[in-house]
Amino acid sequence: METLGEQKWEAKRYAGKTVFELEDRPNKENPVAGYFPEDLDYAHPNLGEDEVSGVLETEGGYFPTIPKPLWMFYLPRICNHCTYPACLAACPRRAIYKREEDEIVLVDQARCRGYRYCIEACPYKKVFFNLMTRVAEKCIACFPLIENGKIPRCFETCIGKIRIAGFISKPDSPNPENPIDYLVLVIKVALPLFPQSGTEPNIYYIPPINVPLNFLRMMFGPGADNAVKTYRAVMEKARQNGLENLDDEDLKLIGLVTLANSTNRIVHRFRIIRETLEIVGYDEHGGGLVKVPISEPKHVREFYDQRLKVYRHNIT
Amino acid sequence: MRMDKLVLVLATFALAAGLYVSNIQIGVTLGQELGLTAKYVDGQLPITSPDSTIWGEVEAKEVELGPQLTAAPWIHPKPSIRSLRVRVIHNGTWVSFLLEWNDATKDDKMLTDTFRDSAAVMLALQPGAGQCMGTPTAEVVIAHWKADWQRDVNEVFTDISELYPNFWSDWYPFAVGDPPYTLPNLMNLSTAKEYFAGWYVGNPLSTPLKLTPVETLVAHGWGTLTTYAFQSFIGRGIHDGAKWSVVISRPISPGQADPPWGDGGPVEVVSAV
Ligand code: SF4
Repeated sequence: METLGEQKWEAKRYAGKTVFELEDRPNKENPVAGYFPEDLDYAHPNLGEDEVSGVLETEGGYFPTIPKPLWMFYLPRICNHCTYPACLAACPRRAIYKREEDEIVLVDQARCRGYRYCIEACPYKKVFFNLMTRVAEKCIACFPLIENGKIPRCFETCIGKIRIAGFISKPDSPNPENPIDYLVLVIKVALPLFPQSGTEPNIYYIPPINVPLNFLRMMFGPGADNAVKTYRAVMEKARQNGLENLDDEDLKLIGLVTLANSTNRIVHRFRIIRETLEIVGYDEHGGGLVKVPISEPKHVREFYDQRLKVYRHNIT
Repeated sequence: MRMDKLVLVLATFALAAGLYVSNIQIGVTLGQELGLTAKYVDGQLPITSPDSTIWGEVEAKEVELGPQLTAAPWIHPKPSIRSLRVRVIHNGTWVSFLLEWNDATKDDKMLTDTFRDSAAVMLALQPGAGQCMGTPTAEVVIAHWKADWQRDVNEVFTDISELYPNFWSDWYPFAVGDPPYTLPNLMNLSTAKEYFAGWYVGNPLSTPLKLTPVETLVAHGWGTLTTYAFQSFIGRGIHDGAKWSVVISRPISPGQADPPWGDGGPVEVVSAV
């Protein structure tokens, strides 16, 4: 993003230049403005990943309090399988292609000759040079799984159970029963990372609500305000009034978060069952895939166990 | 077939050696025609011996290299390698090119941010192929010698721990023993292949067991460069601390991708570094 320099948003519309339009790009050989990482950039990929990013603006300093005034968040990043892939545009050999059937972006391993223009061009730095095969490689979105109606492996194995894979409709014709459409196009709580790149990334993030908005706007664009507001409001209502008193729309958001990773199949449609407070996921033919309770049972264990006559140190 | 006079028209372009990939400096000396004539040598040619004494008996042509300005990457007006010495010999069945250029650094490893030294000879299969990559109506055959392939041939296999001595990697499920791994001793070839997509699909760049440092390619215009199914060039390059000497050879007419030199007329040749 540093390569793009200072650019402008006009309200919610990006009015700046994208990586495809920047004339003053560092390397004029490459049709796309980018940054070519040096050896050292790859030397410590995880350096600082567990460190806090800053102190909440409102707190004005660090004091050991709960909730903590410090903030950080993990940002899992895979290839975005962009609608307009910068990697593809940069390849002089046309060794990168976008599959018509699912828009997955792939590097043709037989055609690539390791020129590495794609590595320079990708704003998300998601193409890598394989030192053993000496050609570029990137995430393949586990396309053999997608072809079989399943979610990619990194989605399936996400220990936080917070990833949802699926297909998105055109922005002007969203299907509110499709989980992805609902989160991205209808209530707009899931946002693309650095939308100003112009590649239209297809990984969408629900921004963490406890992070300063300025920071979130920088990462996810001006839509961050609405996303945080919507998400926070629903969670607040649920806490105060209980799930059973939420309206249908609010239940959908909480339900979808619960549904994430509850099945390894792609959910094409979902439905809330208000009476039982459950959410159901369906496959592309309408067949039921999974039904999960939106409200998870809560068990509170006493600090002192009468039966075993011991104190519990971890009671959560 | 015996030809005393194998006539080659030589134009040149330069691909700067050992530079960061995005600074590839390609150069071509437009319209430089040298009228290079291959010298006839009786008997066996030093087809993989750039240090053979035979070369001393052959006159070298000094070729000036300039920037290639036709297609990306084209920007750098000053290639880092400005001239090349070329010698060509044949014995009626084989032809050998010796390319030599001054280069104090031997770049024979592909790191994430560097490119290796390489050199190429291009033969036009039809007249009018121009100086780079041919045209839709005039195909070219290209012999591309690569320093990293030469290293592979010399040392069998370059493991990552040789590229980055402090590199630490997780366990390779297809390897036995400790790094640096060797092929085929410490790697189960059939299993290893499944972990290296480029190798698996037969990309010659990705094949760890290289038989020759020279790749035979064909092209009919920019962006069409493709490994040729029939590999006919061989060669060898050596670096003496100050310069590269690279010999590139092949049968004059191996039966496929043969330039039209059977009729004794000139054949367009382009070389690149
Ligand atoms: S994230 Fe990068 S590698 Fe993936 S499609 Fe977009 S530009 Fe290409």
